[in-house]
Amino acid sequence: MSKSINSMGAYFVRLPYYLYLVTLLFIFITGISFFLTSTDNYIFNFLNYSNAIFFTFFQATTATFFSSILGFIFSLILYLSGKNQRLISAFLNFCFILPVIFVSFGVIYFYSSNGVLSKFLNLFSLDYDFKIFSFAGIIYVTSYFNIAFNANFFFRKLVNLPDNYIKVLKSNNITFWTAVRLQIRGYLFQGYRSIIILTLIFCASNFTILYLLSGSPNLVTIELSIYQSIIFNADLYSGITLGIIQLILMLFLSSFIMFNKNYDQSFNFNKSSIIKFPKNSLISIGFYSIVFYFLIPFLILIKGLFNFNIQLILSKGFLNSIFNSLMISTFSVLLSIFLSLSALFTYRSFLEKNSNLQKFTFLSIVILLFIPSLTLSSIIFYLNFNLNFIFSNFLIVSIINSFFITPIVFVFLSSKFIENYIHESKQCSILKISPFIRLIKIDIPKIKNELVLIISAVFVLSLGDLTSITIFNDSSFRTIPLFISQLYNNYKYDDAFFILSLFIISLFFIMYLPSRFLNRNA
Amino acid sequence: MCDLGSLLMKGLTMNLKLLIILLLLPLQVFAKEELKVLTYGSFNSDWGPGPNIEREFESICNCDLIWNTADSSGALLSRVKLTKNNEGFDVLLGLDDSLITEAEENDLFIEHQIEEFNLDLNWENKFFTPFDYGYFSFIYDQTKLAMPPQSFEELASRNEISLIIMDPRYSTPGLGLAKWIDQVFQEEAVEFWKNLQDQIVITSKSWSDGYGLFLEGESDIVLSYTTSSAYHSLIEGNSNYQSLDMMEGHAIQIEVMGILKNASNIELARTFLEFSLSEDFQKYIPQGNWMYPVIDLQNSQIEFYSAAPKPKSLDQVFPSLAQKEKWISNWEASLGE
Amino acid sequence: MLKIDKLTCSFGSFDTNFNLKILTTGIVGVVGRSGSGKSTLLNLIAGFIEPQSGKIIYKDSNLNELEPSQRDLSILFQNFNNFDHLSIFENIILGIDPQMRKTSDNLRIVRDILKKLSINLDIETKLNLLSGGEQQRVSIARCLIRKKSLLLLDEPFNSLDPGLRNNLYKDVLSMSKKTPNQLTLISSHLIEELKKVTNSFVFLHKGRIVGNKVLTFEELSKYKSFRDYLK
Repeated sequence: MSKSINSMGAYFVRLPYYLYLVTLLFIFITGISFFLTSTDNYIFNFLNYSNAIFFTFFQATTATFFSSILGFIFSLILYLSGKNQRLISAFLNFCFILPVIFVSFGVIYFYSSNGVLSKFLNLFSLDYDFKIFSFAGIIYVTSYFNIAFNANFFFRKLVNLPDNYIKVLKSNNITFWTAVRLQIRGYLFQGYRSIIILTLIFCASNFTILYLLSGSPNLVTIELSIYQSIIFNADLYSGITLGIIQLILMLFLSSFIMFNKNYDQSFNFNKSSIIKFPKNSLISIGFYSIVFYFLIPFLILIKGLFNFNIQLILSKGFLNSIFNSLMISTFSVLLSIFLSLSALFTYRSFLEKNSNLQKFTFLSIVILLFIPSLTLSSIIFYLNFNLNFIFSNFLIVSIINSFFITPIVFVFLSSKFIENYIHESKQCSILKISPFIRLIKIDIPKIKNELVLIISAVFVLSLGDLTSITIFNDSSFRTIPLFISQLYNNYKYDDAFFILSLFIISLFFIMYLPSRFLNRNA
Repeated sequence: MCDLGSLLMKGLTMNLKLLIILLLLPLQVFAKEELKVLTYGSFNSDWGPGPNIEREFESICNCDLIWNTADSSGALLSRVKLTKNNEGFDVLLGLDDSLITEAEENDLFIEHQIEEFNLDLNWENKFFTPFDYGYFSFIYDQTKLAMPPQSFEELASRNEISLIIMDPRYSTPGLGLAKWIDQVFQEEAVEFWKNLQDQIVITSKSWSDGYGLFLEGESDIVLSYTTSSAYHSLIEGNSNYQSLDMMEGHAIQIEVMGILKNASNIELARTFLEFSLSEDFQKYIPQGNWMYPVIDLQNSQIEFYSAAPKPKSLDQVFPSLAQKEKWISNWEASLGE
Repeated sequence: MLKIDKLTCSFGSFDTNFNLKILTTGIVGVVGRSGSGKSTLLNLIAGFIEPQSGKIIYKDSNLNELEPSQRDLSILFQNFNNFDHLSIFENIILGIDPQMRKTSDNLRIVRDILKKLSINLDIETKLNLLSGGEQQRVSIARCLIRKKSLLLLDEPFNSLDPGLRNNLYKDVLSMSKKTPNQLTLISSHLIEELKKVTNSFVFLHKGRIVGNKVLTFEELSKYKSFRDYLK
C-alpha cells in the first residue's frame, strides 16, 4: 500500500513538469502553425523591420561592452576598498533586480533637461545639453543593471581568491594591478563567457527601457516593434513573426552557454581574510563614486516621500493595481516553485539512472531564460485570438511571469539540490527510502533556506515586471508598474514618484526580511 | 421522528432559498444598465471632461457609464480590430477623422441613425458623430523663444529650434502633422520632412507623453493644438505658453465617436451619441478637453474663445487608406537621413 | 640569525607570545598540535599577520618595518601556491619577474631549476594538468630561483600521499644542502617525517615556543607537553 502511495506521489510530483513540457510543445506548435496557416496575402516585409533588428543587437552589443568594462573596473575598486563584502554583494544584487521602471524614472529625474543635474549645473551658470531620451539614455539605463551583474561576478571571484594567492603575490613583490593584468586574470575570467552572453541577452531584451526612453522611431528594437505591431497596428502577424525572429536569434546566442555550466555560485562570506589592502584615497574616491552612481535612481525616493498622498493610496485604481500585482506574483511564484521542484525531482531521477535525459530536463527549463517575454506574449496573444480569447489576462500574465522566473529558481536551487543528492544517495539507497519520501522529508527541508531566499527574490522580480502587462491589460486589470507608468504619462509626476517610492521600499523589505529571519534562526 | 425532522429541514431550506431568490429578483430589475465607452487616457483623466460627462449622462439615463482607456488615440481602433471587441465596448470615443475610412472598411461600427444635426461645422456620416474639433499647432514658451517662427519654411530653416512631435503611426496628432505637411507642401512634403528631421528631438508615442516632455523642458516647441495655450492661461494663470500662428494655415482635426457592432446595449449607445451633441455634453469640451465644441457655445464660453481664437484653417480632409499611408511614408522617408 | 622577541598576537582562544633565537642555518622543523600556532608563527615572520607587539629580527634587520615583499624570505603553503591557469614557466618565473617575460635568460633559469629538481615536463604545461606533487615541486622551484636566505614551508606536503611526501622532503633536504646559508623552517604535525630531514625542532604549545629555542628531539622529549603531543 505505502509502495503504491509512494509511486503515485512520485507521478504527481513529476506531473507539473510534464504539463509544462506539453504547454511548451503547444506554444511551439502554435508558432509553427502560424507559418503554415497564415493568409496568402501576408508577406513579412523584412525591410520594414531591418532597422529594428539591427538596432536590437547594436544597442545590446554597446551596452554589453560598457557593462563588462565598467563591471570589471567597479569590482576591482569595490574589492580594494576593503568595505563589508557581504553588504557590497547584496547591494549589487539589489541593483540588478530593481524594477526597470524605477531605474528609468530615477535616471530621467536626475538627467532630464529639467532634472537634478541640470538644476545643479544651472547654479553655476553651466549649460546642460544632454538628452536622456536618446541612444545614450537607453545605453545608460540598460548598462545600469548589467554593470551590477558583471561587477558582482568579478567581485565574487576576487573575494573567493584564495588568501595564499595573495600571499604568493605579495611575497614575490607583485602588485595587485600587475597580478590582475597577468597572474590572476585567467582565474578572474574563468566562466566569464557565460556571463557576457547572458549580459548580451539581457541587453537585447530591454523592452521596458525602450518603452519608457525611446524618443525616436529609429531607436526601436524587435520587442518594441512587437508591442507597436500588436497595440497600434493591430498587425498580429508582424508581431508574431518578429517574436519568432527574436526567439531564433536568442536561442542561437544562448547555445554558446547552454552546455557550459561553469558559473560558480558559491560565495564564502565567512572566510576570514588576513589580507588587508592599504588605504588609498583614489580607491576611496572610486568607491564612493560607484556608490553614488548606483544610488542616482534612489533620489526619487526623496521627492516621492515628500509628496505623500493619502487619497491616492486609498483610490480604487491603486488598490486594484496592488491587488493584481500581488495576485499575479503570488500565483506565478507558486507556479514556478512547483514547476522547479517537479523539474528538479525529474532531473535527479534521470541523474540516478545516469540517463542523458537529465540534460534534456535541464535544458527544457533553462531555455525559458532565453525566450523574451514579449515574444512569448505575441505567441500567446495569437493563440488566444484564435481561441476567441478563452484565457483571461490574469492567467496569461501570470504564466508568462512564471516562465520568466522559473529558470532562475531552478538554476538557483539545482546546485544545492544535486549536492544533497550526492551526499545522501548512498544512504537513501541502503535505507530504501523512496524518491517521493526523500523529496518531502529530506530534500525540501534541506533547501528550505535557499527556497526562502529565492522566493523573495523572484517575487520582487515578478512584482517589478512591465512587459507582458503592457499588452494584456485593461482599465480594470493593471499592475503597480503599469499604474505608475500611466500616472507619469498623465503628468502626475509627484504621484508617480510617491507610489514608486512606496513600491521600492516594500520591495526592499520583501527581499531582505526573509534572509534576516533566516539568519536569526540559524 | 428523524425522518420527519430531516424532511422539515429540507422543506425549510428550500423555502429559504426561494425566499432569497424572490427577494433578490426585484434587485435584478433595479440593476442599472451599463454603457462601456472606450476612449483615450486624457479624456477620462481627472482634469478631462470624462468625469463631468459621466455625471451628467448618468443623471438622465439611470445607467452606469464605464470608461475604458487605451494608451493613445492611435491605439483605440487597433484595440477593437485586434480583439474583435471581445471586451464588449458599446461606444468608441476619440477616433480621428483621418481614420474614419479605415474604420468603416473594417466593418466594426453600426449606423447611428441620428437624423438631425445642429452643428457648428459641416458634417455628414452615417456611422460617426463628431464631438469636438481643433486645429493643429505648435506650442512654445514665449519666455524662452522670443521670436517664434511664423511659417513652416521659417521653422525648418531655424536649426536652433528643437521640436517634439508624435509618431504619425501611433498617434492622431502625429498623423495630423503628417496630413498638415502634406496639405501645405504636397509633392515636396518629403523634402520638408527631411529638412525638419534634425530639429526633432523626441518623437513620442502619444500626445500626453510628448506634451509632458515639452513642459519638462525637453524641447523648445511641441506639436499640439491651438487651444492648448488656453489651458495654461485659464487654469494655471500662465500666459507664457502660446501657439504658433502659421502663415500657411492650420490643419483641422475632428474627433468622432461611433457605436460598435457587437455593442451590448445599442439603444443606450444611441442615447449617448445624441446626448453628446447636446449642450449638457458639449459644455465640458472647451475647458475639459481643450478643443472646440461642435455646437455653437460662443455666448456661454466667452473666456475660452477669447483665450483660443480660431486660426486660419486649411480644408477638411477625409483620406482613404492609401492617402493616409502616403502621409506616413513621407515622414518615414525622412527618417533614414 | 633569526630572533623573535615577545611576539604577541590574538590567536583563536589564546594569545601568542613567541620568543625564539635561531643562530644556525639548515632545516628546522616547527611542530605542534593542530591549532598550536604553527601557521601563525610563519605568517608573522612572513609579514602576513601584524603582531600586536614584539620584534622579529632577521640578519640584523627588523622585519616589523618591512613589507612581505621586502623581507629576505620565500614562503610555501599547503595549497594554492600556484596559479592553475598559468604554465609551469609562468608560475616559476614570476618569483623573479612579475611580467613573466619569455626572455632567453628567464627560459634558461627555469629550465635549469627544473633539471635540478628532476622535473621532466614541458614548461608550457598548465598547472592544472599536473598532479599535486608535481605542483608543489613547481612551487619549490620558484622558491629556489628567488635565492632567499629564509625559506618558510607551512605544512607544504600534508595533502599529498606518503610516498610523494618523502620525495619532496628529500628535495628540501638536497636544496638545503646546496644552499648552506639558507635557513628553512618547515611546519608540520607529522614529526616522524620531519625527523628524516632534521633533528632541530621548535615545538609550539598553546601559542608559546617551548624552551624558546631550537631543540633536538631528545631534548624536547624531556618536556611533558611534548611527550603528550607524541602520544
